[in-house]
Amino acid sequence: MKAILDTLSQGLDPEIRARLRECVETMQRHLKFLADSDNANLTQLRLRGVGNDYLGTIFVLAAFFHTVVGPLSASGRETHLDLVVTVPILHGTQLFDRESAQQTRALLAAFRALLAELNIKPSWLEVLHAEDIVYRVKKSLEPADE
Amino acid sequence: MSSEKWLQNAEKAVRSFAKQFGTVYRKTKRQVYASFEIGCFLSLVEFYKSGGFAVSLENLSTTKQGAEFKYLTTPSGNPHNFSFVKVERDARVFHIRQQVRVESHLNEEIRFTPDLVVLPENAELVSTKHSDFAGGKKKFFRVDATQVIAAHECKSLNPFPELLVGFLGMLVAAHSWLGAPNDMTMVVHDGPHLAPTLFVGGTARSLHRKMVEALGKTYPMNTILGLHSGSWNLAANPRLTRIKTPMPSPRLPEGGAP
Repeated sequence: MKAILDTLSQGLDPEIRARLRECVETMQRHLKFLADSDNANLTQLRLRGVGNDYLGTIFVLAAFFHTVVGPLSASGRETHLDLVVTVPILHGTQLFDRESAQQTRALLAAFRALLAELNIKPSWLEVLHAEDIVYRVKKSLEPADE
Repeated sequence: MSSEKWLQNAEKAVRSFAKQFGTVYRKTKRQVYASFEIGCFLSLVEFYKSGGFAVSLENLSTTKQGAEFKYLTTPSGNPHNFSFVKVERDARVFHIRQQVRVESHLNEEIRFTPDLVVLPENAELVSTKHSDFAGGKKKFFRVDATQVIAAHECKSLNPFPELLVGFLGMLVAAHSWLGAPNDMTMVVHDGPHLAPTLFVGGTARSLHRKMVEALGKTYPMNTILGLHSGSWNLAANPRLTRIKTPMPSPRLPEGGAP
């Protein structure tokens, strides 16, 4: 998990990197708290063989999604407007145009593909709290009749 | 697959992702936040377009590649030198601008800059020299709160109570049409404008979601959560509060405005 965090942190803006790491550390602390307090959902996950590496990786990817991928992909989504695609937006020195929109859409698609490869559901990353992620993972792994 | 093997595969997949897309996502903090704000801006413009408004891009700059929308990024800039969006319906025209400083109707010393602001066409962007600003050497641009239809704020964060309640300050200080903080007289089901809105990237826990619901019931405002997860279509969201145009049309007799 640390290697994944290091890989994704590499080259980030210092403040973005600090925020990413802080998010992950907070969730790790909460996970420890859940473990110490015998949280029922976490106990069930453990019984199903879900370990700290798996949950830790989800925490890192959730934090990365919220601090990097989510905000970046906001400007690249498809709209019915001329802005960006036909008429680029110049924000300071940064240009938001068709090319940048395509790049951020590709980034989002690749990130989703990465999640699929790792058997991580995108809905697990919508929340940024260890207890909520544990709950969502546990619900997803439950048999349908449970 | 063992946990160790799974982790090795995950590390490899993430390395491959970083190698391929590192140049796309390694941006400065300013660039990341700008991208989110532009996402909110596009969403607001789409809201008006979906509501039957004709949308036009104004004051574009011309480059060799063609027209460019020059986005005002700081209240220090002269709004007249930057682009804005004009929306028009039923002979009423409104401007959507970014980073225009608002001077509160409560006290002229209360000034701040919402990320996005919707103004009537005839709103005056005042510029004077101010001894407390740049030593009186640069012009100080602002719009009076009496001209503000809705001020919107964009936060690429996970919501927390202080962020949510902090927006109330802007709601009260930027909207002179608000008779009292919880005055709902401007709220109409099919109003043309989005009520003052806090756009939030992250999603909330249940406790904070209840707070968001309570704020929306108490004040004429919206808090839109979960934008990172894709809830961008404002027009399709029936739960969003809309308002009528608070000021009479300059083109129509009072009471004749839609």
